[in-house]
Amino acid sequence: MNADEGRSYLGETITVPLEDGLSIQATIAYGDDSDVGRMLVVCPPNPILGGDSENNVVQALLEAAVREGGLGMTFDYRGVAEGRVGDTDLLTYWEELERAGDYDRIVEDSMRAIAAAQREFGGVARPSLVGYSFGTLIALRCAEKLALSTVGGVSPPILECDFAPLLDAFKTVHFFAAPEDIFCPLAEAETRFAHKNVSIHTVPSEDHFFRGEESVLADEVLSSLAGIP
Amino acid sequence: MMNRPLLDGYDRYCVDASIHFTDLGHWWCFSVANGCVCEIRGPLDAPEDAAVRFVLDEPVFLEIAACRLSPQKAFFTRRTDIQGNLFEGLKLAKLLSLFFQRHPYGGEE
Repeated sequence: MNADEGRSYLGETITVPLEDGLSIQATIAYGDDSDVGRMLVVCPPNPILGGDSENNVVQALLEAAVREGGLGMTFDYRGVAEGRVGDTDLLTYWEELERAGDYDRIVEDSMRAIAAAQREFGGVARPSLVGYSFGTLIALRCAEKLALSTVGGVSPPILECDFAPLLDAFKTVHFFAAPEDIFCPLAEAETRFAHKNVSIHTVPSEDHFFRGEESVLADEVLSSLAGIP
Repeated sequence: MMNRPLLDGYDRYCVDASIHFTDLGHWWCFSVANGCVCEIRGPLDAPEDAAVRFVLDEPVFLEIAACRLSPQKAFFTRRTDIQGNLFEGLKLAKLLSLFFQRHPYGGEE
């Protein structure tokens, strides 16, 4: 159990081995009376922009998951904890991924983290997935592999990523964004995803970062994803 | 920091940035060229044009430079702000945090 001060949940950090001797850290959040049959998995934002499991939105979602009586789970992408991946600096490695547009390894890492977290609680936890910003891409791809019918994305960077090809795998995709989010302009989102299986939720906050409004966002996400998968 | 690569393999990175120390009322500007800080100007009484503008108090900056506070946490808790090109600002903040992890201000070299 970790002893991070200021957290409203109990937490356990597990090491998830990857290929090539790499590993990532996953955090499982829980409360005294958590139902271990439900686990909200939160995929963090892009490491190039400082995204990690300590992000304010990620942590707010974990806290909300525990407050709602389930488990929360998040993880750091490869290289985040060490500042490098093998011999390559973190930013250089991730910029190469971005240039290639190839996140297959990251999706595989994330699936391993989810499986490891499930094993930690006897394999009974049914995951539901949400991603924040870039993490939306990873959440959608993992949710498809897990055959979930519903998935969530907070402030998906719709100008940078083409989410359309990923949507058909789901019954409903919930996107959440603030009115002035420059990475996810609401008007553009409504145009792009009109007539699709996307439910767009407007969250009152000033921008992409939800600073000071994290719990409002988290409550909206949890209430929208309630009952999934 | 001057003319030292901020990060291995990042030798094409260029940006102009400024730091507004709100408690001191002045600005410092710096330029990164080919992955190295090549020029630092300040203290200035007025801001110069910069793609990225960090806004914070000096004690917060010193905490970040000493690696006692991550730029991300400072930003999320509103102890810093980023103006100008937000995308570049977040990226530069991450780059500087990695640099300070390896070379903390006040730490052993």
